[in-house]
Amino acid sequence: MKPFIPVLFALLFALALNVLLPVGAVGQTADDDTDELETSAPAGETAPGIDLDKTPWLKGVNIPPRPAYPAPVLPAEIIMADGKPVPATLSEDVTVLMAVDSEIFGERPPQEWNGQALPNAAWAGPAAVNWFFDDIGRNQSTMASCSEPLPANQMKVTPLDPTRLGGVTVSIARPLTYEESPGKTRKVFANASRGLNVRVTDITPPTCGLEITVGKQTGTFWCAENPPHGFPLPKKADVYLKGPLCSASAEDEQVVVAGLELGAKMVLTAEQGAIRLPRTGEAKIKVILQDNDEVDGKTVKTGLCELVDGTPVPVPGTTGDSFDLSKIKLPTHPYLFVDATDLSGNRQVLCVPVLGK
Amino acid sequence: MRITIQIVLIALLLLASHTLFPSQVQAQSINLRNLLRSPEMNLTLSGGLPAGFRGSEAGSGGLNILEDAKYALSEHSVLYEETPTNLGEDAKDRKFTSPPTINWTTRQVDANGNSTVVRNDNNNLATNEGTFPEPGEYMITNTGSRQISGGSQETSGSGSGSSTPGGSQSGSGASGQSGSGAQTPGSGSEGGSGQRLTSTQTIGVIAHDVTSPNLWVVFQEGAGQGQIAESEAALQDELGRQMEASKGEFSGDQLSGPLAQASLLSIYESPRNAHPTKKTAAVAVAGPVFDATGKPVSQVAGKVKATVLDEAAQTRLVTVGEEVLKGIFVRRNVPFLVAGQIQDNGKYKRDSAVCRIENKETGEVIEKVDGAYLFRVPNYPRSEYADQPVYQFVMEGKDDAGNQTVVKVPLYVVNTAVSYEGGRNE
Repeated sequence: MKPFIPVLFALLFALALNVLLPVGAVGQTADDDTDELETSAPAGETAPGIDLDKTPWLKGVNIPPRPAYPAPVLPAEIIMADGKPVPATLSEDVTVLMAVDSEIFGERPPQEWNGQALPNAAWAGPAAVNWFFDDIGRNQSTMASCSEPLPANQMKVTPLDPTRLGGVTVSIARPLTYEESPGKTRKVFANASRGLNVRVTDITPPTCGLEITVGKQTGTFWCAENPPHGFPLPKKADVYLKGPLCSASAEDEQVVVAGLELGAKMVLTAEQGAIRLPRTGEAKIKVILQDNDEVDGKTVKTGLCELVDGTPVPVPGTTGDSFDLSKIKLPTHPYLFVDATDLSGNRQVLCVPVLGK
Repeated sequence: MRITIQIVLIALLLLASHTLFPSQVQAQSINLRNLLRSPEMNLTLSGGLPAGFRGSEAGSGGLNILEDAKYALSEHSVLYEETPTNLGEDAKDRKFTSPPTINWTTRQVDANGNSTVVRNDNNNLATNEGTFPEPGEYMITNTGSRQISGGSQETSGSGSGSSTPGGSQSGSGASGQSGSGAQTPGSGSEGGSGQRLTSTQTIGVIAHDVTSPNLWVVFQEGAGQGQIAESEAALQDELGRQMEASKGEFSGDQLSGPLAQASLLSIYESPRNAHPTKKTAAVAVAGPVFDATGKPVSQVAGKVKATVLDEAAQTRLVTVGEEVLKGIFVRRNVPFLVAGQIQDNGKYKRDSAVCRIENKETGEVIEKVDGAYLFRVPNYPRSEYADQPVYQFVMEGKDDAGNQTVVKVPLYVVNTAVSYEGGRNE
């Protein structure tokens, strides 16, 4: 037995040290050479009973779902800043001024929570409000921010992308103190949150383009909204032309035509940019579909056209994937065009002049 | 009759409250629509320091942590469970129809209690890592939202599409198709099915300063084109201005104006915001006094790893000695002034840095002559002047948390062919 006594003392001493010394970062010494997480419990252990196949987001969670201390949850409601209800449908790129109404902004915090009295409860600071826009389909959230000074309960919310299933979420925290025991004050946070489902409509036309190939030479044109998320309407776009068929010198250079109105009347002049086609050869067309939501495939038309009162009238035999240039009778002022409409009905028609090579 | 009057009065009161507090009416309508209330959330940070760390009071609302360390955060709410069973009786026939959307928001709190978002992580997980790059008070908020079946669309039918630009859009000729047809204000269709249920919780943390302060020391010689300042205090003020402008970091040539000819010793945290166990300071020099031949240099002379000054308080100490900086070489008969400045990422007092020149063997402090230091007898090279005392330049700076930076390097007096007796800006 005797030989074990020192070992026993050593073990007891180690145990006592373990209990007496503070956990976490206090244990760091100059010899530590790690930037591991400072944890008092083994990280990554998931509580028994959590099925990670069904709730994978709870991986590593080993705490109960309710706090051990009083943290009042107060109701909140999202409204428009003018007091009206929030519409179920918003438009992308259009800023709306929302507000949240809650007792958490009131003069006094609750004096009890879950049956527990909170003696002398008083607010200990201002409320901190976080606003989010959720794309529920993609499960992505964007935090709203505003540089403009606004009342604490207001926020300008600008949905940037259309979504059929979106959500506006607000969360509020406000510190409060109460007398935990005579002469001893404790600070906790009261909370409030609210979510609203909203649909965000698409107001941006597609930004489609075309790639045309004749022999070994290609020409590509497409457009991009600039500035992005522009409002008020009309939106503007830059048109890009690239490839030997877009260049008078047959070089692979890029031309940018800036500031066109994005929509159904995007017609370039020959001075701005053009496609130069030979008299003969097979022209192959590949359409470039681009939209911030989804292009309605049934609406897409491409090919050569002439403009009649600003509307493209297709040249017969050129609206397919390929056509023989030698068999086409070109109008006086021919254009290569793409016409596409997205699922919300926004239409884009882009016409680029065709010149002989 | 009296009862009738009472009823009328009550009705008038109700009408008045309806008019004055429309948002309360909104809240009432929520209850009517049987929406679920936000459940509680539990939020913890692992590895925090004891409640009384560095004298903080228990229950003050902030978990004690160290700046720049990584902490595991986790949260839990019945909102994140497999089924809504634990949301209560009202949720018994409902189902979660989406995974939760989870945001972790870190706010830095100023002295007035106002807070600014410094970080938001939308990781859709109930765990996260927390790092706090500056000492001070923070709030960590978790916000979860999730679709649940049942209930009605909370948005009202009275929205009237004021936020949709259908009219102006069709007017523009850009795409008249996207307007009113696609808008369904208040219809509750598609996006409005079910309820967007939310839960949130916030905890406060106090990040404690474990970074040794930055120190700048300037040596201003009164010789050649250089003129020394009117006083050490004036030199210190000018140094403070220029240090503040460059955030205490060294770029080699940032001294300008009255300090353009001066020599600078700069000790600063590098890299910034390293983990507490990896705190390192760079020692940078610029000017002629850091070379035995008087050749101007501009370089980072070395790096010093901080040591733990006090285990319990987790304070750090940076010590700059001869192994990093061989010495400071001043010229015989050339008057000079020395001034130091302190800067820290936490709280500090501007006068909490002191510097002096002392006899290394006796500790005797060397006094200035006519307001400037002046050495008339060389002591370098040591082999030639072994009988002369060795001087030491000492600077100590301390922030309010107790982190320190200490400089102790030899100061050598070099023999030069020219003697400057003047140079002081009288």
